[in-house]
Amino acid sequence: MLTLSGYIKKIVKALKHEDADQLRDCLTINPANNAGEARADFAEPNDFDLYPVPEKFRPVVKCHLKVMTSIYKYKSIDTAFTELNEMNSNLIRAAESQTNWINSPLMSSLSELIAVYKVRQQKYPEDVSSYQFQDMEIDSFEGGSGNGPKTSALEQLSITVNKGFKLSLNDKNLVLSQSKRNDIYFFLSNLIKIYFKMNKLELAKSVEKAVKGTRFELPPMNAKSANKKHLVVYLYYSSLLSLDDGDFTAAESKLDKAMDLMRYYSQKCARQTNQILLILLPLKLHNKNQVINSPEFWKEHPELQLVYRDNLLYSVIHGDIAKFEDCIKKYEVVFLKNHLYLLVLSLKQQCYLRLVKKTATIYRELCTDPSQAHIVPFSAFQVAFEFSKYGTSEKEQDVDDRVFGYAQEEIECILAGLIAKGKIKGYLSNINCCAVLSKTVAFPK
Amino acid sequence: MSEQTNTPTEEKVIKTLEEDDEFEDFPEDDKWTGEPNSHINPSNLWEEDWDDDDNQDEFSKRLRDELRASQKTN
Repeated sequence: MLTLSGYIKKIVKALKHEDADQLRDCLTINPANNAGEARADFAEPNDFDLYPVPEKFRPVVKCHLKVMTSIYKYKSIDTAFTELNEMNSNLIRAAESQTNWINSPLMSSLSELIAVYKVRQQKYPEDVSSYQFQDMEIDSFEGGSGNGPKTSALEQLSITVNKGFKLSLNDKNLVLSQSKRNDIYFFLSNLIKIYFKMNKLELAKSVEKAVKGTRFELPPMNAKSANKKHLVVYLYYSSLLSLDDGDFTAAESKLDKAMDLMRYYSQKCARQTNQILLILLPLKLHNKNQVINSPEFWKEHPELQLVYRDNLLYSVIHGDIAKFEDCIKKYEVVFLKNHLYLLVLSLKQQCYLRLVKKTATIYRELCTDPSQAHIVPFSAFQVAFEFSKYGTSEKEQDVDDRVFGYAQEEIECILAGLIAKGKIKGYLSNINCCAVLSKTVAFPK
Repeated sequence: MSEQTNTPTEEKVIKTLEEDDEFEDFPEDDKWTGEPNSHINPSNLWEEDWDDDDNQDEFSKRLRDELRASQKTN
């Protein structure tokens, strides 16, 4: 028969021996041997009952029993979330006096809090966008309740996870293996994900800055298996921050690391790999002109095949302006939601470059005088751009009589931009209305 | 060129991707290995040379026709 005193004795023993497994079992919402219902029936412990428990852990015990009552007796997910949030907050406070043995039960309890939040969110959905989140500074989080404006459950969750993050990051123990920093990636990944959900990207940036700015050693990226999944999540969101900053090189580098870590994940074709590649594919094309050509790969990732191989990559590689613009329009929301819109828009110049290159190559084939084949009239580019954007023209119409959607000045501007960026070797002759391309390498790699 | 309408498959993919704005959680009981798996090898995945120089695709053929026609009228 499970009793309150037996339960308290178990907690005291777990704390005394720094037994992480035992403490986790004492604080979980789903304890072994169906102990949950028994704990829900315990009377509220008084000071006398709690006397053997170290002082800082007493509020933790009290809150845990309230959580069990909410779940097993009243079956109230709303109250369970509030009490569990409070319990985690108390546990973090109590953990300050402990070494890093406490990390395991703390992470377990925070994971349960996040899981309970998700169930609560399903039952009582909060429209996150309707909340005016309080102006939260990373160092000034204190409590989620009180007399201030209504605090959303997500905000309460963020405050608690942030406390856990600070507890871990600020551990001054210089020996990493004994420091709470050893599990920093758990707190970091969860916190940054919550801030993205709240659309508080400036807070996500602050968190990233705090991690980068620490003078203490952090765990290497490949040290612990458990760290890998948290690192993948962190690197994914961090790359989105880089995309917003227009730092496409940093974004690519972060996702390369994430992909490298995914090699240690046993599941083939994981959804997470798909999500990483959704960002990485246009980044590789933009930064390095790299694509994936493996038919097996596209077969395994049909969504990516549709968005990229059949649409975006196709249009850029072929210089098909109409298809490119159609693709932007079709996937506008997808690109916006994934922080890709600016990156994808900047691929338009590559689309233009491909069209210019194709036009110059075909013009050379058609040119009857090989010595003049490198001199391409603007009108040829006008015809090509017109065709690429608006389709086939009325045949047999004199070029001089045609009204182009692309003015000659616009074509000159596009060509000048590409020459200035070193994508084309050559110069423009405004008087002769032509581009004089390099005879050797007109389109350097 | 002509504006394309979305196929049912495209609509489904667009809807999935539009709704999918959160990085998927790894399951608690997931397996991470000590050694890298062979099914993902980023170093072999990407190809440097994506240039399509043969100009034999449908788009290039039509572009060639277009340029040839404009040359004739010149």
